[in-house]
Amino acid sequence: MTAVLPDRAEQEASAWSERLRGLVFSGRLAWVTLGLVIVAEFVVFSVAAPRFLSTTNLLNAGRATAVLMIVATGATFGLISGALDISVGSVMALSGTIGTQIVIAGYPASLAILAAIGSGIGVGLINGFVVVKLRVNPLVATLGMLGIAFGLAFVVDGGSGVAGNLRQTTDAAYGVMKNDLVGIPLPLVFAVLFAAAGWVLLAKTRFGLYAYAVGGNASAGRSVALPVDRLRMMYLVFSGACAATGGYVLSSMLGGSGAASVPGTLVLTVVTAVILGGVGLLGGTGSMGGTILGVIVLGVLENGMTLAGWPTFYQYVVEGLLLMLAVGLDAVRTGGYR
Amino acid sequence: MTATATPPGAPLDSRAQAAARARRLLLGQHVLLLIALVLLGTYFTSRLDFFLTSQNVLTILRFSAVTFIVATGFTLVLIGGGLDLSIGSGMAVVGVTAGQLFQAGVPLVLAFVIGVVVGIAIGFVNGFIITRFRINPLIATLAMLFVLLGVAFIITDGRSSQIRDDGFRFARENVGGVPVPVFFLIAVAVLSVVLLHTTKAGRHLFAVGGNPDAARQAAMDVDRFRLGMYTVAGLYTGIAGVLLASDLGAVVPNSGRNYELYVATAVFLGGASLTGGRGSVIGTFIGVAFVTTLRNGLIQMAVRPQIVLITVGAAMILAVAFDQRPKGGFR
Repeated sequence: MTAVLPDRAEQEASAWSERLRGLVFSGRLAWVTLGLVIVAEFVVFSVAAPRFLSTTNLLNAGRATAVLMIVATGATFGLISGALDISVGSVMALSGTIGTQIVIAGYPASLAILAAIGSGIGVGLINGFVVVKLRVNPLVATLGMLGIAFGLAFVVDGGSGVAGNLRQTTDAAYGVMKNDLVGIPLPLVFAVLFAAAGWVLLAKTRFGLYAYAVGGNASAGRSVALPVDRLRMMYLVFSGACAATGGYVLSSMLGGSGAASVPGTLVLTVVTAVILGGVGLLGGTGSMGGTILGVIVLGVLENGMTLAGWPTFYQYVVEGLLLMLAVGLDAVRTGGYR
Repeated sequence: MTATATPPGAPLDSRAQAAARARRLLLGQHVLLLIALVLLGTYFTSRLDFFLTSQNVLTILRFSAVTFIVATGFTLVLIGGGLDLSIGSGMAVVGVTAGQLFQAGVPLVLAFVIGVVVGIAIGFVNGFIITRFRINPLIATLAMLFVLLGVAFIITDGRSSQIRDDGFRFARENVGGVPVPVFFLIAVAVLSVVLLHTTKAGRHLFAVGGNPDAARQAAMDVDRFRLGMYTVAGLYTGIAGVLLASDLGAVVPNSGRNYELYVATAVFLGGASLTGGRGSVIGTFIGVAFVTTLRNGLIQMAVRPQIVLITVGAAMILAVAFDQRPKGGFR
């Protein structure tokens, strides 16, 4: 009889750890965890940087985080459908550069904006073609596209994107995102609407539902006659379009942008936000609510660290560690990489 | 006579077999890549008078050396079923560590040795995170890319500086007309071939990468292999980082930028696979030669570096597409 005891103790211990895991990592309580992180950030930064807790600064933080929110919306769909799109930063650069050059050349801003977003759709179509028709792993396809789109952005701006000699535009319609709407920065308003639309699209429509099906189990999807390939392509196009929209918003806020205007670390921030929000690396899990919280965690972090006077390169380290932590938690949830 | 042994559908099978054999001959032996390299070289030679001079060939070899050394580490990791995107930043950290120590008065050799040790430590940390915390290698090393980039900036306080010392710039020297980095290239190539093909651990690495579950059933300690291969890759990152810093003759915190793209392109061209279990030192060597020749030729033809970036990105996608298609590819 005594031999049974350790077994039972072990079982109880593992049952407890299961329950603990469930509490911390699953469902809405994961959101509570993220919420607590955000509260902790507010406490730390309001002590470390006195100006942090002012309306002006919080609106500024919202303005600075808007682009991340828009791009992360697309990345959420992409990653849920099983495609980690790491070309988003280059797509942003390309989109902003194309828009800027068109408006500088004297065409109307509406055309410039359409062309900017169209470039993202184009890149998404190529990504989709490479993944679906050439059967290249999405990671490799978008890594190659990262180089291609970035190079193209430099070609389009003729090298003028190099810091210092970037040609700006004073076109009021193109630069509309510099403005405020009843005291709230327009990019923030736009990003909130964008994220809300993304939420509805993901949670309430077939387009969203099928992302889970394709990412969770593609072959099961095929066996119930889902057009898996076409859907994969659509999610990559959507991801490209969102990235391009983010690229335009950034370009508009800056009054024109070049290839070098998008920070190279942006893709890290996007991936970190999305995974922190609970989108699994293997696809098939995640939600827009989680992504929104992940974006807020990172937005507050970047704003707070800047305000507290930490150099940018410390932010690289903190964000890298945060990404590892996010995936580490995901690994605990799913059993992780074997 | 057809009735004797051939079941229906056999002609189709044999045709498929013939196609597979042809493919093995072309791809397995890297013949296709070699042909592409020769064509590329011929094209550049016809366009540029000085392309096929011993001077330029030695330059290409010199620039190949650093890329080849990290690419070999990348190949080992891919064979073992992993991935390492942190190589560029790792090289930068190694280079700035060695450079800063030397500027602070540490003896030259000791500074370089510490640099290499830092490289080994980086590789070990990569492997440790991946095996212990079960973090997907793609994300673990993507995160490390940024952590290490930040560390390189922190070490240098964000500044670049020249080191005007002939000892520090040993990688610019020639011995018997051959650039010093080429000797390192040969040493790393020999060491890697010996490791991969003559030791039991090397041969098992293919099994671990090709099918980790099967390797576990055969009582192999998969995690130890992974830890080991990342550590060896770290050693190569260390050597390459020291050579790069020496060749630049400077401390540059973002000196490893875009290395991931060039190295991944070269290694995939050389026949290694994202799904593990495949890859070779010679394939990687030809792949690196191809990419370096492409860059060298395009730059000498005064093509803008952005176009080079586009070409390399496209080459990588095509390399993987061509490699994956016969096996069905990504589903």
